Amino acid sequence: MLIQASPGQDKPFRNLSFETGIDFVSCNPPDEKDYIRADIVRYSYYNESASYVMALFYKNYYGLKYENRFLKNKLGVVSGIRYTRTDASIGKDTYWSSKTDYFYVLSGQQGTTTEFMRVKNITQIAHYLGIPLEFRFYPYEERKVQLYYKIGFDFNFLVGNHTNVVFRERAMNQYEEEISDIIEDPWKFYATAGLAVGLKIGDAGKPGINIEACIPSGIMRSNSSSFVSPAVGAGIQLNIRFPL
Amino acid sequence: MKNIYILLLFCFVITACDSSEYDLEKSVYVPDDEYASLPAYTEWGYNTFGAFYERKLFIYSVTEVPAKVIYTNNVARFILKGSLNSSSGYYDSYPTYFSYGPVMSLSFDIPDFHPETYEDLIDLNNKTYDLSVPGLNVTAVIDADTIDLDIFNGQLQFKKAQHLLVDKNPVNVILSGYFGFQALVNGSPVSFSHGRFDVCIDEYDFARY
Repeated sequence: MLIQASPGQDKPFRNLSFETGIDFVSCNPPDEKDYIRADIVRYSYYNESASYVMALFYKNYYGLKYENRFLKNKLGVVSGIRYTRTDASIGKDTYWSSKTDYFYVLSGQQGTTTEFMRVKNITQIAHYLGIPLEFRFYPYEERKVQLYYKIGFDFNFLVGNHTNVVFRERAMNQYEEEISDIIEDPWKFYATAGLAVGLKIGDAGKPGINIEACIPSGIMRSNSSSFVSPAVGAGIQLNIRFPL
Repeated sequence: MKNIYILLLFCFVITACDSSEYDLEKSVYVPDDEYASLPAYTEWGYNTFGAFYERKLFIYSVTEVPAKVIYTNNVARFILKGSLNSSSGYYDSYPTYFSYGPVMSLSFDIPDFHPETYEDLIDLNNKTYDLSVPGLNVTAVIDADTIDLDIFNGQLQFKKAQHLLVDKNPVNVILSGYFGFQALVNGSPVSFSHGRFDVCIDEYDFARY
């Protein structure tokens, strides 16, 4: 009953839109990294985490998309090109931990010499070019503010990356490259799937905007090891729409 | 004005404390996969050790410096100090959080070893000592009671000795290894089994006099 075509909606809408968005994704604690020295007691009884080091992941993106409507404008298929920047970081959780705001990274082992570096934060920044593919469902009749639902995917390929390290001692900044070589490589490829609910604002056939609340529900990646392990997250996307 | 000086002195002390490597002196307990009440064998300088003394648990404690090396009268001694706890019960899963047993230390003589400073401990890398060799004394002290151990089988292995540098500066020497032996105490055989240690020795944990 919800899917009802209204008069004048038979002609398929087509539009071009510029998009931008950001997703925040929580990560599992990076407990088992063989280059980070644990810094608290690890109680087996509670199976507590090994360290008070925590991981964060977020990505923001910009893109250009084309939407074509089908099924009497009830289904929109959207695709285009997207640039994504991901920021994955590991740092000390000073809220729960001791006063120290740094952790120890095993920077080298040679013969009978072992080296640690004191690091406050490591951020791995990666740049991707990708293809979004979205299916928008418009169950309600066309109106100025229209609710819709979306299933979205994107397929992303690494085009560049770099690592920022905040050392406890500024004099250690010259060793940033060493830390970059120690941590896991960024994903060469990753794909995401997610659900969203959106608001299409503006009359059909006129410029308007779409605002979407997104729930990334899965990340598939090429690398078996990963600098951070994303779990669940949420995001928001804004589209500026121009009719064709 | 006097209060300001006191405040400045307090700030100085706080800053001085913060710059120490106190984090490296703390013990980090990573449970062994097989014997969960023992720390896993590690080589990170986690300042832990543990062994079964018969059916009790000889393990580091939060109140004692876990290891020292003392050189005196031309003899070097490697000393582990912790507590002697029951090895069964509720506390097994976090055995060192509550040090409820008596203080215990285990001292190993290291033959033909004459370190001048703690940095010389690196010479122990990959050294194994047969504890049944006559003249290689191993002594246990439980509270104030000294127990001479007449060892007839066992060994002390320094599997790895490492200089530890932090931010390119030497900080301590990490000694990691295993120990285990059987001995006669008052004519009865006793055993220390599955012993392992991963300890940091810095200038304050090494004494030569």
